Amino acid sequence: MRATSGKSAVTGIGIISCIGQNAEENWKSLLAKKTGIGSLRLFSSRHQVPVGEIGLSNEQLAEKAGLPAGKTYSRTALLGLIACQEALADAGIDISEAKKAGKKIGIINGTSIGGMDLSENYFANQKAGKRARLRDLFEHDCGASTMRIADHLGIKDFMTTISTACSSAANAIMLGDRMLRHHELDIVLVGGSDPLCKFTLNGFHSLGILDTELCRPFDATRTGLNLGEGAGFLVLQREEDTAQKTYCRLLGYANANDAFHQTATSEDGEGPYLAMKRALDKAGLQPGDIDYINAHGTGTGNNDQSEATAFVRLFGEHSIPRFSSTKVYTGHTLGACGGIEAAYCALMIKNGTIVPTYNHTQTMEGLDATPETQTTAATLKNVMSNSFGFGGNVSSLVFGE
Amino acid sequence: MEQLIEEIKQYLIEDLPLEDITPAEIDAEAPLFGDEGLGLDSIDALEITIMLEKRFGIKIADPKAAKEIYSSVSSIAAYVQENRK
Amino acid sequence: MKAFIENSSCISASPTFDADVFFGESIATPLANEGKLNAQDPDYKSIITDAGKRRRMGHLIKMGISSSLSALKGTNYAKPDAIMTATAMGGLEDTEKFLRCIIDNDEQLANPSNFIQSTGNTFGGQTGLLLQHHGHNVTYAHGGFSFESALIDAMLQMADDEIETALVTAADEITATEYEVMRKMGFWRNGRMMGEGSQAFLLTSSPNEKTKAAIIGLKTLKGPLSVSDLSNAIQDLTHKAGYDTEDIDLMLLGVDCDYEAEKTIIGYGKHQINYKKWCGQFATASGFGLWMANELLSRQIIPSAEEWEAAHLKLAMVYTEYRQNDYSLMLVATV
Repeated sequence: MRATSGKSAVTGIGIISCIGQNAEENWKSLLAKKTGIGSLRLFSSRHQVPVGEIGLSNEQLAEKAGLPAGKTYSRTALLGLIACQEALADAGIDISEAKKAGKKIGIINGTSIGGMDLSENYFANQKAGKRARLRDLFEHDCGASTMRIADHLGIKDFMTTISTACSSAANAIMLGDRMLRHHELDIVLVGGSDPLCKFTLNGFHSLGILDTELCRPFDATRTGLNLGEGAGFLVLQREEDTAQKTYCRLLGYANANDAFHQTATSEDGEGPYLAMKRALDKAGLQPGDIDYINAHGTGTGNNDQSEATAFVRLFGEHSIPRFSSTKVYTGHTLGACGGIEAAYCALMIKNGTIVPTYNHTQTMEGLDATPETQTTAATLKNVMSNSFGFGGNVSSLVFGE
Repeated sequence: MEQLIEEIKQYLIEDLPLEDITPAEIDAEAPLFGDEGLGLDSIDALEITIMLEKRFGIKIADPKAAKEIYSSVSSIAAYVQENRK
Repeated sequence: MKAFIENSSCISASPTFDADVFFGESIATPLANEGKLNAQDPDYKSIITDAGKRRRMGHLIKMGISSSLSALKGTNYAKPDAIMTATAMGGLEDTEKFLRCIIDNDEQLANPSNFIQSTGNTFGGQTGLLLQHHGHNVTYAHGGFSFESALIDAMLQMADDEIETALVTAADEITATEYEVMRKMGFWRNGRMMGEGSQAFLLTSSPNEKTKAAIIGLKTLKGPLSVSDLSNAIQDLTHKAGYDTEDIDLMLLGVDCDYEAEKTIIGYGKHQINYKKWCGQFATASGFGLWMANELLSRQIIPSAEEWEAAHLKLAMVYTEYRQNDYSLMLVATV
């Protein structure tokens, strides 16, 4: 079958993060400018840095997801499942009914670490001379978490997992759209899930990019990022198949490779520039058509400088659209952030409201790029969402009303 | 001092790691970072910090201080000499 | 969905890196090392010549980048439009090193290089860095669907006219821990062998003078599968591509369970080959199956007991099973 020329529509969203266990709670926190970043309690660590944790144990998450007690699920699978359940309910989709109606249903999940929390258990128990359970290692690979989510939801037609560090979920959204428009699928869950765990905390600590205080995206005094955890999923369907009112449409997207360094982004923002430019081209829009950008904005010296430089290059120094980073509320949720922030964009479009950055005081040196600091009502026709990952992996999505 | 410089060269080769480079090929005075000399990068700087802690028990917390200390093998050696317990 | 194979490269437990040698001699049987089929490593120094860039690369990345560079060699595409990589496990060796380090040293002296190497997209990112490639670059990590997903992404973008060329590379490595875990599960019975390797393909949206074969159909199937599910899927895929199941000349079977039993169940194909005997069992082994399908169709040969012998081949299907959970079908035809 030939590809449809229409766009994909966002028909449902699901979010779990440190500022809320569903989309509504997340939106309320965003409007109240309430950050979820605080002390680390999920596990013991010598690195006492602020993190954005959900505040539920794996057992509590399993109960919330309606899973049978006593079975082993990675935190990635649990968070992802909760967000997927919400997104499906929000879209009014019952999987078994959709199957009966002959719909092809798929899931594309983005995660950077899969079942690492359980692998940590295995090695820690082994080291402590306790019984290390083999089943803790079965969930290790990224795909295992997606498989658990799909199994529980009853999705069989297609499933895959993308692992491109912090742009994973954004890349999952792109593949989902392609599969829909080529009629490989009729309904697709796209997004990402990543938990807090010792592995990533130590990894980012070893790179020296964790802030010991609340992060300050696009601020002159920024010194690093805060890690968060969560999952964000969208239900995408072809717009011609949707009778109901939808959040927004996915107008364009692109992934580009910065090809500069394994972990750092280039100073001239080449990768971010290319991703945003190509996403606009695919959407058939001009830079001036963008009303708001949900920036990657992690709060590291390198990321924000590079991203803002790319804004200047693409939009012009004095015509950068209004932008903000929501990571000051959620923390950096790594593989999940593209999904969570895409869902935030959907909410901002639907509610005609721009959520600002919080904790911003000083404009960056030499860059005339200041994020929004006040909640503003606005008609948002086209918004952009950026996600940048290690390995120079840069993704940009454009959503429209 | 001579011996310490040789030791540090060996540790750099083992810990960074540097492939196909012998201690004799490392000029103790040449810059470690940038286009000249060994051409190390920011990840290597983090690795050198770990190397100093692991091999000599020296902790360097301030990344700005690290930049000066890591400018060459001999500057690292001088710092180790002074701060070694 | 369709993609033409212009060039490919394969590092495996068999001497496949030089395909002319592998197919020019009598049929090689890889030697197992304590139940593992380790890759026959080419001289990585002569392929990744920049010592500064090579020094931090783990085995997975060296395999992945070497097969990628080799697949691009001699083609017109030093920089393909897109790079898709597939690895179910990523840099498992580095992941384990980093994990053990933080546990053994109480979160001190953790080495950032191991952390960086552990992320799933390190070899995709490193390939991009080495080629100075600014295009699409995505890594798929989903067990036995990893490589298939990378191919689907490439073929969809070709169908959308977004790209004309794509480098699609699969890689996974053996680690002692994974082997041991699977051993405790009793997986390595009945002659099963753990394998590793990397296969890279330069795909194009239209054929050129170098093209010998094309991927004309692809389907992933989630287990458990009944015999009729599988049979229906094979028929469906073949019909969609405009063929009949009787047209399948070659069935390349990559099975983890009992090969003889599976062969009888599937039944299709004038010739049937158990391809995992050359590469072992690992999540992205379907890359080896596709590599072999392309080579056999291009060379018009099939294996007999000891020799490669001439055969007339037009249509091949690669059937892959991964741990009785992930199944895939790839239909490959001569052009």
